Amino acid sequence: MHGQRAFELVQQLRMSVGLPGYDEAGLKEVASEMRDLHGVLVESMQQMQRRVQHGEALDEAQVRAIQCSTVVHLRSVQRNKRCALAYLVNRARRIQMQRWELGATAAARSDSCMSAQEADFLRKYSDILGEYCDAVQLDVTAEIQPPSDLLIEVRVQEDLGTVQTEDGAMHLRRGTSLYVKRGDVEHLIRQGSLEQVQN
Amino acid sequence: MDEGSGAPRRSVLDDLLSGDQDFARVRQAEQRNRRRQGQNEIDVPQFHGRPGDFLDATRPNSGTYPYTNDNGHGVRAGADEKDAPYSSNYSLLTQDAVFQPDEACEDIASLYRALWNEQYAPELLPFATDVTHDMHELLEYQEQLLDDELHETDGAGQRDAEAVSFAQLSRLLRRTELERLRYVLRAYHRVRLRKIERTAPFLLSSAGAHTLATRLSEPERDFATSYLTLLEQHLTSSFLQLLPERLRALDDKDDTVAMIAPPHIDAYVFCRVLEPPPGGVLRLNNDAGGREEIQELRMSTNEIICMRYRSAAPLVLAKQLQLIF
Repeated sequence: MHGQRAFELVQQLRMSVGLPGYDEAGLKEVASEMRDLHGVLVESMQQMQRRVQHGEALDEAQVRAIQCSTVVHLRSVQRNKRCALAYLVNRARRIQMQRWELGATAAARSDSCMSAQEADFLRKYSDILGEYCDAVQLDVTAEIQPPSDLLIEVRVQEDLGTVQTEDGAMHLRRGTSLYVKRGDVEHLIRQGSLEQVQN
Repeated sequence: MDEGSGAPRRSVLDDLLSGDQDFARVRQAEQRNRRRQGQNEIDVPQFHGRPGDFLDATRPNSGTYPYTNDNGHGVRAGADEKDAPYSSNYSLLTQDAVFQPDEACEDIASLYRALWNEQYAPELLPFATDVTHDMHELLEYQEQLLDDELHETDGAGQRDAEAVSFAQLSRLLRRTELERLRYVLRAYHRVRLRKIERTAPFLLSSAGAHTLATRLSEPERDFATSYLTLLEQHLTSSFLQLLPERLRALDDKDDTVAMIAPPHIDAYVFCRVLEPPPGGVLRLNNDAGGREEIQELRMSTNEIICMRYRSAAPLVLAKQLQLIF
């Protein structure tokens, strides 16, 4: 059936959370199906034109048949295109969401599920977000959740040495826990180097 | 909070009262103050306030929604009480603030209104240039004040221990407050960016040109343009390049579904009436099913109404209605 593979692509996304693996083969199949359908379409149009040019008289049934086939093929092509683009755009949105929620470095880590183009998309998306933040002089990607406390307790997961903050030095030794300003360590939490202790 | 960032495992209390203070001594001081003032309840500002609570020193008793305090009064200014840091009238805002307190309060309220309207309107609203600019200045200024104060106390050496510990508490509260307001400001930018991403193809089509030119800020226009270019590049390199030339367009408009959808301005929205139209009656022109139908809608202040966004939009822009859901 026309459009089966394209529908499966969309279904894949609907049935998953997060970013499922990139189905490159699926997209290629859809594209080749579209090329085939488009070929048939063009072929039948050209045939029709030739017959009209040769002054061949077509009875109503023949005209109907050609019209029908044209519409079916055209709609199938359109549907395939919509499905494939929906697949890509929705994946792009999930990637963007990861960029907002996890930060640029952590989002880039899940690139095993992304295609090369998507990894590139993520990089460039981060760039234009960065440009926007510079323009408005505000890091709009920081703190997605409203802050409840200024200070939070964090547990250090990796040795990071000493980090300077505006209030002095912070010694990040694995296994210790600290009581620090959220803004100072937020990027480290997103990277996974620190873990917030919920009380 | 200031010197102890690296020390392991400290409680809030430790941070509030670091130095040679302990909690008992603060309690004693509180009680002393209470006796001195001959009152039973101390009106110390609550830590769990709403954003803006600690930045405006004078608050009208019937503050504008949503800033009314539960008990009708907030932190009041008292310039002559500097020697009694725990008294009810101690101000958390430095007296010589450039921003008039009520002005700052109005900015915060406008920022909230802008955020809510933006969040619930189906189309992009004009960028709140003034409010964001003022908020930015307010936050910078308060940040500067805090920094200055911090250096002042550093240099002061041995001072009255009570005053020092109160100053620390006050700084902590104000910094928390700043963080919360900064969050609201960020949220406003974020909501708009997300909307711009969703509607970028429309905004940059000829139909959206007017919105693009009048309602977006300069950085937002740049963002919209580069985002759409990026998305189109991505779609082309991932999929469209595999297709015949004629199928690559991203603005198809066949008779079933158009690829570029205008915002759904016929969506229903909930709104609160801030200022009723003259006479308290709004005349709606519902073109339901092709025939025109004039409908009158009664409105009074603070009423909550559900109506079509199309009809509400002019009133929202005129700040007579506030979108709430």
